[in-house]
Amino acid sequence: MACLPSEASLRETSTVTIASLTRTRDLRVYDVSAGGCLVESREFLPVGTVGVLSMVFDGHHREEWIRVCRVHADEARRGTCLVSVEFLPLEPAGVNSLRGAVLQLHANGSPLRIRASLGRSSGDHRNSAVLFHTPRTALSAKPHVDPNDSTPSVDANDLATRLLNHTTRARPKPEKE
Amino acid sequence: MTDRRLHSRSVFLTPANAQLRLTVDGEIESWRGTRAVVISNCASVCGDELLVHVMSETHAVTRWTALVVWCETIIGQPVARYRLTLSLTPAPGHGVPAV
Repeated sequence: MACLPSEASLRETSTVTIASLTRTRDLRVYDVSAGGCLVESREFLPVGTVGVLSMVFDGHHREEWIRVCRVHADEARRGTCLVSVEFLPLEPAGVNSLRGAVLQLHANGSPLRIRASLGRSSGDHRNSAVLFHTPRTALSAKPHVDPNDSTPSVDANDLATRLLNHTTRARPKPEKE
Repeated sequence: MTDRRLHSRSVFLTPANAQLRLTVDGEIESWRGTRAVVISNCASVCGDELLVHVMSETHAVTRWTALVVWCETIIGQPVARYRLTLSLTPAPGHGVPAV
């Protein structure tokens, strides 16, 4: 039977006794690729944060180690923030791998595919994304609502819409002199 | 460039729900029965549920579910740290470790 670190050992040993603390946070996933995904979080996640993302995708529970690489948040960090995360290929994509499932989906081709091409995760989905409807693959089609949270998630939705609708071609070109 | 994405994306027409499990290190300051005080770099709020993994003296990893009952900011260190008082319950399926 396992033993806990005793008070005496904690006092006597000069080494620091380490524990790992795991927190679970609810997220909403806006898009996903074989390299990462765009998620909405009500908690600010610093760049470099590492964790395990789990969700139901394509009818199965999938997990993947992720690392936060970009955060789009209100300057005052109010409300929700959009977080770009990259998948960490710590091991070959297995049966329950989200990365593997996306790779498989793209390799097979989705029947609901509209358009596929290369692009940036923060770019224009009309140029760079495959659109497919996945209400059956999500845990719930209903948006995540916390009755104790008075902060509306519409901010992140607006931000997501702006990001997804943003096109590089829409930017004004600098005038030639 | 690191921010370039070479993979085609799939956009959910309805955002999908997901969970993120974040794991951080904590230093055990004290452990009495089902009460533990842990120093962490991450703040928590009272009522937060955590999963605590501890390696025992026999090098066996035990798992506890913890409820944050107190979070105190430790002032005077270069990096903000927090002292968490946890109420512990043995996680199911991992036996009840002897105290």
